[in-house]
Parts: sequence; C-alpha cells; structure tokens
Amino acid sequence: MSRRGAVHTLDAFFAAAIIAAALLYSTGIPRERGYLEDEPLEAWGVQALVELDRNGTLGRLVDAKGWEEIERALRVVIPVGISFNATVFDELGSCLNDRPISNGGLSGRTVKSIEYPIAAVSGTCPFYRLRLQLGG
Amino acid sequence: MPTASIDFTLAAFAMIVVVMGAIFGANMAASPFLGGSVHDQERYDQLGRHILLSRGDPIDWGAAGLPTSLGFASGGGPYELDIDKVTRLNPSNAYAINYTILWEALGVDDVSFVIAVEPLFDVALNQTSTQQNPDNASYTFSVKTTREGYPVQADLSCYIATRNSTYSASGSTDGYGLGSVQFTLPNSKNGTALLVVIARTTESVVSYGVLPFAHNSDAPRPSGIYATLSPCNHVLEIELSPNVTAWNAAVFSMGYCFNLTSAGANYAIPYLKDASPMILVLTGSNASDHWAEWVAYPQVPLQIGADISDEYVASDVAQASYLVDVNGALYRFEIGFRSPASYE
Repeated sequence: MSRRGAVHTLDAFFAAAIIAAALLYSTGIPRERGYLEDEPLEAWGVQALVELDRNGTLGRLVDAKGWEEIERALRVVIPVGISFNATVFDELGSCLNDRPISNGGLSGRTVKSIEYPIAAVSGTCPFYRLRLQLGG
Repeated sequence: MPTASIDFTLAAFAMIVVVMGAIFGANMAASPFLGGSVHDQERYDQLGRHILLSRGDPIDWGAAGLPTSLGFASGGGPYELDIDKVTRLNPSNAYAINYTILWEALGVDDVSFVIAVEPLFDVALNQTSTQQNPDNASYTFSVKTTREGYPVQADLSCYIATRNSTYSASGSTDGYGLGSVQFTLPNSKNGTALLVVIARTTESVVSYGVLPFAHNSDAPRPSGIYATLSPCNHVLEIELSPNVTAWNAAVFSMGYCFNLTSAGANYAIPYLKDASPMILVLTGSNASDHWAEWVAYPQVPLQIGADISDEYVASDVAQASYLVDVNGALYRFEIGFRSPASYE
C-alpha cells in the first residue's frame, strides 16, 4: 500500500469513528417530554367526561339534546391536538345526536374509544351511553 | 523498511490510540448523564395523583398554618380542590406558602416540581371606542375568548365597578370567539373603573378577564399601587398604602354581583353556589385619584416551584396535566417534575 493510500485509509477510519461517536451520543440525549406523548387517550377522555358530569351536567345536556353545548365543552377540556368524535346512544342502542359532536373529524396515529354512562335526573330517569372516540 | 515509514506507522498508531482513548473516556464520563432509563412517568403520575387526591396534613392547612404533608383535595369528589389551598400557592397572596415548604411537605427528596394552575380558556378585553356626552360617557369593549389561539364560544356576564357603584350587562361571543359589550357611566363617577367579564361555555367551564380603564380621569396606575388584596379562608384581607382610603368592596361571579360585608378592616367573602371564580374588587380614593384594585378567588392563574426549563439534559423531566374542580369551576392543573435521571 502506498503512503498516500494509507493516509486516506486512516482519514476514512477517523471520519467513520467521529460520525459513529456523534450518532451514539445524539441518540442517548434525553429530551423533555410531556405526558401527552405517552398518556393514554382514554385517561384524557374519562377525566374530561367525569369532570364535565360532576353535577349531572352531561345528563341535563343530553336530555335537552344540547349537542352543540357538549361539543363546546369537549373542545375546551380536551387538550388541543387531540381530535374527538362523540356519539350518544339511548338504552336501546339508538344514536340520539342528529349532528356530529366533533372538533372536525377523527384523526391521529392512535385512536381510542371509551364509553361513559350518563343518567339524567328526570321522572323516568333515562339512561344513556356516550361513546367518545379520541385520536392523537 | 525506511525510517520514514516506521515513523509514519508509529505516529498513525499513536493517533488511533489517542483518538479511541478520548472517545472511550468521553463516553465513560458522559454515560451516566446520557444513558439509562429516563422519564419515570408512572412514578410522576402517582405523585401527581397523590397531590391532587389527598387532603394533606393537617387536612385544613388551606385555612391556616403550614402543611406537613402536601395534598390539595377539599374532601369532596376526586380532583375537587380546596379553594384556599390553591389560592395560597399564588406568590402574591399575603398567606402564600413558599416552594421550600411545599417541597418538604411533598417529602420526596429527589424530586423538584413546578405547579401551574390556570383557567381552561382565555378572555381578552379591549376598549374599542368612547363617546363622551355632557352627562355621561359610553364605552364599547371587545371581548375575545380563545384557547391556545382557537376560538371558544361563550356566554358573558359583564360588570363595571367604579367608586361605590356597579353596573352589569350580559352578552356572548360567537363561533369566532368575538363579542362586544357597551356601558354608559355618569360623569360624576369619574376615576379608575374596572371592567370584569366572566365567560362560560358550559356550567363548569368558566374563565374571566379584567380590564382597568380611565373614566374621565388619568390612565389607571399599575395594580397593587393603592392596596394589596389577599383572599384566604373566605376573608378578603386588605393592606392599604399610606394616605389611601377604601370605599367599597364587591364580589362578581357568573351569576351574582353584590357588595361585601365589612369585617373590621377586612371583608367577608360569601360562599356562593355559583360555579364560577369570584372577582373581588376594592375601590377607594387618595388625595387626587379614585382607584380600583381587584383579585380573583381562587387566585389563579398562578405558578410556583422550581425552574425546570433548563438543565434537563442530565435530569428526568416530565409534565402532567389534570382537570381539577375548584368551587364547581374547572381549571387546568399542570405539574412539572424533575429529578436526577435514573440509570440502569
């Protein structure tokens, strides 16, 4: 091997070593992360529905067919960046909401669905199921 | 072999050894900070839940005293927080608890934290026009309700407090989060006035905004110049600046507006059934000005705790966000944790 060839070989070797070391370090550096990355979407959904329903609010809204109000509330309590679509069923499984309860369509890498029981305070004490699908 | 070739080979070998040694040494020195398992989220989540679901010790530390164990729950439902425990996190409150005491009360030596509590959406107010008449002045204000830039449609309760008078109106913001409200004030009530707007999307999703403005007077002076207001344990404690007289205190919520009852030098804050933050306004005068000061109860938004915005490379840093209920209104309670990175 000529002297020039040996020098080039060493150059290539050192360059490869430097690149490999840089890659090794960069993959090991931790980044600040929010819980949103790993938080199950179900947890967000359940917490939002439980908090909104604290005084029977959801039952009253469903009983009054206040789909727009439900959508407005969900838009505020569910974190920005998570898409949602809600559907309300009665005891027989029939869909009640005659308009979408959504922030523009369900999208995201992961889609989760939760079901939340709602009881309305009235004479017949009707029972509903709210299915909330979340994408994030 | 020529001498030059031997020199070159030895030099190359020495360089390889030195560079590889340097890489190896740097890697050894840095690996404790870079490698291993980070973001022990389950642990942080448990800490967050513990703080929000337990009442702490003593259980009524919000009303008086200092906590020996940290917990913000009121004793009602889950994630229902005590209004005074939250209020005492605000550094501007006279009864505020400093971070050192909170950290000791948490009792986890290797975890520092920062807490932020804020309403679920923002209410921005602007004075858009003024019409001066012989006996009165008409003001128009724009109201914008948004959440992280996205519009929020809301119903509005609007109030003005000036001197010892209050005026009220209602309104709403549309699908673009925009609305307006108009008030006419008599010229005789000149001085600094406060516009208080409380916005609600549904029963428990409430926020507020406050705008001081000049009513036939000089521009309002910065908040806290004339008096410092500290609500705690349903008493509004007042610290007046020298040569200043208080005239009247009033409370504003989504559904109510009335004057407060004086309790000595302070004022008693009522227990309202309204799911709404309370805005407490104190008006008064000094030699030349009629002023108005205000504070929210619970005293949010607030932030307290360690700075975890930097030095995170060698630390575990995680954020947890919860919906919490304070007096029937929902707020976002965010906790940031930091601890030395755990290694495997």
